[in-house]
Amino acid sequence: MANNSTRTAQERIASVLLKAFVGMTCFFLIFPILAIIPISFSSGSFLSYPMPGFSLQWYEAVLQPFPWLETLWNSLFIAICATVLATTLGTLAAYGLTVSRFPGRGLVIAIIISPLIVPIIVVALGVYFFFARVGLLGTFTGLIMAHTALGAPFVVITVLATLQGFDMQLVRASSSLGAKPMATFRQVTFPLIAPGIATGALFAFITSFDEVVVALFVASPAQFTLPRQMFAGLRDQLDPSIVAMSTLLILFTSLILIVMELLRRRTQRIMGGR
Amino acid sequence: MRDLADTAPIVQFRGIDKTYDGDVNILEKLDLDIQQGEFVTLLGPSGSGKSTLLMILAGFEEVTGGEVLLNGERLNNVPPHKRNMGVVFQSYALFPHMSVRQNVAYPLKQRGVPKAEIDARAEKALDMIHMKEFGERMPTQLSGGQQQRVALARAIVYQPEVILMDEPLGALDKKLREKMQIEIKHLHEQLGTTIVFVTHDQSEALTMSDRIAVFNDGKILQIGPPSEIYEAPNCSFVANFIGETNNFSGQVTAQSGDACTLRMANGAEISGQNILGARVGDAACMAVRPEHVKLDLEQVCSHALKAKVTGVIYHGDHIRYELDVPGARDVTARSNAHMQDALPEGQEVYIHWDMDKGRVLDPLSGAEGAA
Repeated sequence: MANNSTRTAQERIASVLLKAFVGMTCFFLIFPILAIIPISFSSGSFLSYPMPGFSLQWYEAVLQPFPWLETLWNSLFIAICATVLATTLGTLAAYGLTVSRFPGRGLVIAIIISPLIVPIIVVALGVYFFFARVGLLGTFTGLIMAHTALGAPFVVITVLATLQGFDMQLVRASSSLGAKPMATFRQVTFPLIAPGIATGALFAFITSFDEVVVALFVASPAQFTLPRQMFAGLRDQLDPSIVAMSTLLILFTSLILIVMELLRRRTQRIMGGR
Repeated sequence: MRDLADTAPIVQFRGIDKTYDGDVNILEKLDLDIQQGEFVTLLGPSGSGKSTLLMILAGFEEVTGGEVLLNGERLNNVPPHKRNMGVVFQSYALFPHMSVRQNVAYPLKQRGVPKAEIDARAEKALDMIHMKEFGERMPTQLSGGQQQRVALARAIVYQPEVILMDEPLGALDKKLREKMQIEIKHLHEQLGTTIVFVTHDQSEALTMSDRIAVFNDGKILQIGPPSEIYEAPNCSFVANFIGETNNFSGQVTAQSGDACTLRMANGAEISGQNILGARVGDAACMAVRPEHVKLDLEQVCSHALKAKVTGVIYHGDHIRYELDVPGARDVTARSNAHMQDALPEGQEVYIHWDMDKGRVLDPLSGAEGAA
């Protein structure tokens, strides 16, 4: 009995410590993000506390067509195109790598995910020299292609992982029941691995939307993305408009994550707790 | 059992070879004809090639050599979705994101059947397997037995020419398995469709089949109706794989007509039918089913063997005697006597059997001898 209660006490201390640790980790991660939000409502023009007063002027500034909204549209356009491409190509690659075993399969996977491992500055330099040669510098096509290559590894990794848990017997069953290969993919494989594809697509989108280094090298002012513009802003005129834009982006990203989580829960419910 | 002799075979395997690495043969020069409407079971231990043959017929595996014919037409390069066969898998392979009804409707949808007809036929198929009220459930909400019924309905709803079943009852418990065996048998009688059934369970094969093909090491050792396979095995492997068998190993010392005499290691001689045409001097093994072994307290005939009862096991409808017989191992006998008439343990007895119940076959290989 005594032994039992001391163990419970130990467990209670461990539990408290664990909670404190987790709480502090979350605090350190989230506090810096939250701390800057009030500055976006500042009536002053410096990134500092205390704020002289409350104002929405910086939100007004970032909602002007130039330069903020224009670069936002650029970012969205490039990110959406890159996401669609990366998701399609990445899913096909992951599927192919799952159903067929061939010599050099490991090498192919390594090459596909190399943009994740190679320092981004190296990738950007490589892309810069290559694009200069083929005339893709300062074009949307070039930036979309580079961002596709950066986003595809996330799709390949998440879809490969999802396919690990996918019962290939279902594909056999479907074809024995008379479904052509494409019909099988559309009706059986795709719906079952869709959560993995969606997760990969989200990562690909965020990768492109956040990306600044490749954009620095490849984009001319006509293709300036939002991060590229913010980077320029940090250097040229540091004012709370950047913080206002950041706050909007935090809101936007949080919304995406919430929607994803809701979708995931819905799928889980439909699939009967799988 | 129906008369199948005069109809053309629906499925023909001709000289099938299958190897994955060019070294080990999964199937070797295999021939098999399956008749229209027949229930054929491919029976064998795991790794004997029976499932591979089924997967070749379904179109999931390619042959290394030989050809597969369906209604006389070559199937070799026809993809699975054009073969019009129903496959039932051991893992059920139901689509987890579709309801029971959608699963059953799936093959009809692929064939462009009109919506109203799909509904009617899916309903009828669900009715046949007593799952009508489960149409809206998701597969994960069903028990294993129910899932396998749905898989069955999905495989019969489009009236395929042949239904292939790959150990479909392997994942079910014994009681449910026996119930499903009867149901599948009834379904076969109702539909009249050809069924090719793969199992490693010999009692399942005996219960369900019109014919059993016994596989070992990529070859069919014997094919025939269950009674023939059980009562007239053509080799020691079949005799030992199907049902229980007592093995008496020895050397042929005399041979006359259909019969021959075997001298066992301890010098005792026994006689039986010479199935494989063994000649004097050949090593051989005689197979005798436990139910054919007779026990007597006195030596009633010259070729009776001396034995001692070492175990008496009561099975309700019969009694099993474990016997110590000099020169043979693990001999058992089955008796329908009542328990009160049972022989006591330690009793000295003489065992013998009718001449035609002892089948002289090939000598046991090491593995079977040890088993």
